[in-house]
Amino acid sequence: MKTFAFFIAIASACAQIERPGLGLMVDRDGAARPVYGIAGNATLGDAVATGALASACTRRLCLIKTESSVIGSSGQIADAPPGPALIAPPFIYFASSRQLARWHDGQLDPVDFAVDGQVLSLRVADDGGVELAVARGDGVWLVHGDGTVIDSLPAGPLMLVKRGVIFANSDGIVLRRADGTEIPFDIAGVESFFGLGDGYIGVRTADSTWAVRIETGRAFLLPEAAP
Amino acid sequence: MRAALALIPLLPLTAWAQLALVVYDGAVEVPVGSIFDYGKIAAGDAKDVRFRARNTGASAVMLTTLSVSGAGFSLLNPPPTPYTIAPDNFVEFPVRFSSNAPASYSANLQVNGISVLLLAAAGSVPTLATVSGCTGPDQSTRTIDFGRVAKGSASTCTLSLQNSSTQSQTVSALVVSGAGFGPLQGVRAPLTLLPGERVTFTIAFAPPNAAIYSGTLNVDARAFPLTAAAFNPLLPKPALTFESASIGSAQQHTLKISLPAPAPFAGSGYVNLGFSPATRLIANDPGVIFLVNGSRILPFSFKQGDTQISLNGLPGAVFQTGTSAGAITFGLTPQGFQFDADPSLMVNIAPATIGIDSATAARGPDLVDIQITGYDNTYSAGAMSFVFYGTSGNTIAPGAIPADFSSAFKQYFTRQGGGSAFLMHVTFLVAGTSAQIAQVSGVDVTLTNSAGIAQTQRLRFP
Repeated sequence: MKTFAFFIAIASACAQIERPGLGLMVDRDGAARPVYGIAGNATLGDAVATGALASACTRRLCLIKTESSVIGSSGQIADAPPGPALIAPPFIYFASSRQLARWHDGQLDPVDFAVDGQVLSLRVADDGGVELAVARGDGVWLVHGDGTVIDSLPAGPLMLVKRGVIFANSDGIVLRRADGTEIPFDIAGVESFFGLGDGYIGVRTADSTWAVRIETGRAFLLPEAAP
Repeated sequence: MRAALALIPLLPLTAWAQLALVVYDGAVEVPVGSIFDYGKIAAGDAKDVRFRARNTGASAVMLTTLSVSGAGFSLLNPPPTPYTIAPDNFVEFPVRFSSNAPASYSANLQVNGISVLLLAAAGSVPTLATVSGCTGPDQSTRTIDFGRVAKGSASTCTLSLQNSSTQSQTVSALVVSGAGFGPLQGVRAPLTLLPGERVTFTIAFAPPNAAIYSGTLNVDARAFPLTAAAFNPLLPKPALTFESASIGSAQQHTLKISLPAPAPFAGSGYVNLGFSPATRLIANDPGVIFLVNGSRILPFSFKQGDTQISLNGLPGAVFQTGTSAGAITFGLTPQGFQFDADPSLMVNIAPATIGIDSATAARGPDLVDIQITGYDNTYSAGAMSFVFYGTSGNTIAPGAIPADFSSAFKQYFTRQGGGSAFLMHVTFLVAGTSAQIAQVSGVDVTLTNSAGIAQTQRLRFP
């Protein structure tokens, strides 16, 4: 039996225990609230911002778009074009002005952007650049930041996720991974998707909010804000 | 002295001039002329009229004469005479007419110097009787009693009018009044009843609330008080069911509530969630909530004939079970009705081994970091062991490394204020060269609580 000349230093083992979080969501009153807990058992925290139009989180960064600003998870605030936005931290796309920006140290740095069509979603590519879902006259396409087409996408509400896409169809929603595998979810009446947190997608219907865990393909309901 | 004596006989005359006779109907006073007609009174009935002698002058008036002369008429509790009426004041004296014999009647009402001719006609009238759904009329009060009726339901009282005389009888007015009573159906006034003829009709009673109800049925001048008592009805105990028989921590289930038979009435209320933790370390678990509104209370409603109770407007309500062992209770608070038995339901959440939601491992230059997200519904976590593996799958010495983080968990659970979900980072400093450390390829983590042992799948270091 082979032995190792090194060992695990038992004496230095230490544990930090904290409250787990799933991410951030905008409730139906426009308040951005942290979502605590684990899959299947989430609670909402106190509002961290009001008047929120959109939000999205990754492991390290949350961004909240209000009418005229972008708020970072560290509390920094930057002026922004008015109206809603699509967010894939650190990228944020302002629909009204068709501007793409990158959040950097509490500031919004403009990003060259010349993509035709209506931007439906965006994500950070493996190379750190941006990829977008755009609706054009001839369909919905996944494109690079320079506009070159990568793939076609289904029509309807969708959201780009890391190495995949989640979209709504007549049967519910489908998580399609880059390898072509699909996981269907029986969630009807989908209105929109949002980036709940690292590994989680939020799904909004008329009367409920769901979380889909990308890695395990599990969907569960999120609580609505208490009255 | 002579002048003073001459004034004495004049005092009553002056007093009469400032005395006015009026009739009071409970709301307003109406001056009385030389004739007052009681109208047509059913033979055997009585009609009281409230006369008032009012002093309209600036000085007191002495009432010295008060009398009624004539068959059928009588004073009820008249004031003693002489009686002093102060300025702007009055004295009231009801006069009753009552006769069992159909005929025309007259009498003279004398109030000091004021004479009024009283007229009345006693006539035979149809006899009112109850047929079904109510009782009465009471012999002394004429009250018709609808009895006890469940709120939200309706009852029907059937009555009859019969002409027991040898001549035709006419009913000019037949009116029901009073909240909850009506409509009157099956007859329309005016109507004429031939000798011996009988007509039946119904009065509905539909109480919207649990209360005592009063109304009136007027048959011409005759008033029949209506009374009823509405009570909160009983609903058969509903069944509370879930889509799964097995309910544990960190789960979401759908509650449905059904009735054993169609609801006899419409109703509403609230479903209340309660939670009692098995441990004393926490007082509550905020994760036990209905998801549709993030709270522990939800409105329910049902319509008459329903067998399924609607929860917040939907057939079912999804709730989550939290992350604590204990008892979840479902209580129903009806609004305006009652269940025939307590429908509360208690669901026990059994103590379970630590639930692992996600686990990852990462490697640094001189450390390995293990991150586990999970929950411990027993609140007794702390004891763990870690077994590291090399790239060939062999166990790295010293083998299982025990650790006890009980105090850290207890401190966290206490500070957390309910709910056992946790995110734990465990860091091990590693002695060895970077090449040796790179040979650490995986780790198994065993977590122990009072319910048993849980183990991660082999965590791979990327």
